[in-house]
Amino acid sequence: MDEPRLDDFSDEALDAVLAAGDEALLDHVRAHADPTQTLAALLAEPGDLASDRGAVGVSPSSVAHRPKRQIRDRVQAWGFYHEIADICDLAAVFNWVSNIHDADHLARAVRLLCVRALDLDHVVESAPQGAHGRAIKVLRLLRRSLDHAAAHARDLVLALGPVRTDKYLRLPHLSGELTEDLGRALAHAHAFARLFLRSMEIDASGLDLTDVRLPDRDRDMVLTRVVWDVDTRWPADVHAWLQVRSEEIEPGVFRLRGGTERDPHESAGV
Amino acid sequence: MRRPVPAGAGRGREPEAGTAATRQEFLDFLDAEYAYVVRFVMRTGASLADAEDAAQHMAVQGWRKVLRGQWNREALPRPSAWARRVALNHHRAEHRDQGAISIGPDADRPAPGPGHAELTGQARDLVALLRVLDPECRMVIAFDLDDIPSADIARELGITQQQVRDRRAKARRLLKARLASVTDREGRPGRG
Repeated sequence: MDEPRLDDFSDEALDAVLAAGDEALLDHVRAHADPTQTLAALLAEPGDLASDRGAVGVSPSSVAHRPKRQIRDRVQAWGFYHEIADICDLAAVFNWVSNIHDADHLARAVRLLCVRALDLDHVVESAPQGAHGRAIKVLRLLRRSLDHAAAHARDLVLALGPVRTDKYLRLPHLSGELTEDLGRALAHAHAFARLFLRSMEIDASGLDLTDVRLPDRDRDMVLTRVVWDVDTRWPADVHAWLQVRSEEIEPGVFRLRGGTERDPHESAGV
Repeated sequence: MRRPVPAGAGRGREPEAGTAATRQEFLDFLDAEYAYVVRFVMRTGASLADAEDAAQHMAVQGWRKVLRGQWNREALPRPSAWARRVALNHHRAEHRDQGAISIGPDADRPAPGPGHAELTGQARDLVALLRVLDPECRMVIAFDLDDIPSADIARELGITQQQVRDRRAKARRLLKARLASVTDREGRPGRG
């Protein structure tokens, strides 16, 4: 084949290619980047005054006092941790002689995690006072680890393709890198979830929570330090579950007791 | 692709240092520029997460200038170029240990680096295309795509305007060669 000649591609054509790619890149950034996190981080900077928040019209915790949403966010943060744990389990049984179908399945699952991690942006807004900046940082580390995992998973699929002659040299390395990336992501997801589960009390007194889906797994973590009363409405199974695990902190007001069942004879009488 | 610098971005009236007006002015600037700064850093090879990290660092530095009364025309005459330089420097410092980008065995078809798995279509092609450039050339092209004047590029990168022109010419030559090569192989239209 003849060598390409540079004058084959004009300046105008080059500019057109760059412009088109650049527009698409901007669309991607606008779809996935979130400047509100940055604004929130600024407001947490030393030297900022509480009164400034009104002046700039941004309040990073403006939605942080909605108990129902806080509980939902806890469910989401903890659920995301378990999603990563499931992928880690999948990667653990993957070995370098696996077929491309398994690798492709793994790569798709990791890519899905990358997308799902974008949903955690709004969860950050529910971070407790004083933990907002840390939540942003941990989430960024989590996404970075997932990005790296997705890249390694994709490389794994490519390495298993029929055209690669060095696959058996690359596969153990790529598998190892992927496992490390996922391990880091799991640690960050755990730190992220714990940031929301342990740090503040949520007052669910009088709320109707019958439409909040509370999975069996880690229910005690999600409801840690949630205060409820006789007027709080729970899904039926959760109500029964709470009755044997709550303590009455004042007449008609209850709080989950560290996830352990209490004596049924002393159960909350609601 | 190209866009004007937002009016009043560090150029308007000179409010008292650290006043609500200055802060609002900076936040308006940040709101207008944030996505563009993230894209700028991504052009140099960063993932979205890393680029956002760099943009946030830039924002914090700018905010500190606001609080110190340095967000004004005299102290910061070219805020758009400044924002890109600060973000880029942060990204480079954070990833210094990764060294130069290796094109790898598939040199004819460079792929986007880690963190670009979610990119698709033309965005992915752009990031892959720019990876054929060395970091110095890539930075000049990244500034060019935001319409930053050569004099400002030279100032922010600490090089002469002639060096900017040389790197630009080299970069464009390499990019055209790459595109011509791909076009030859894939038979795509697009030649001038």
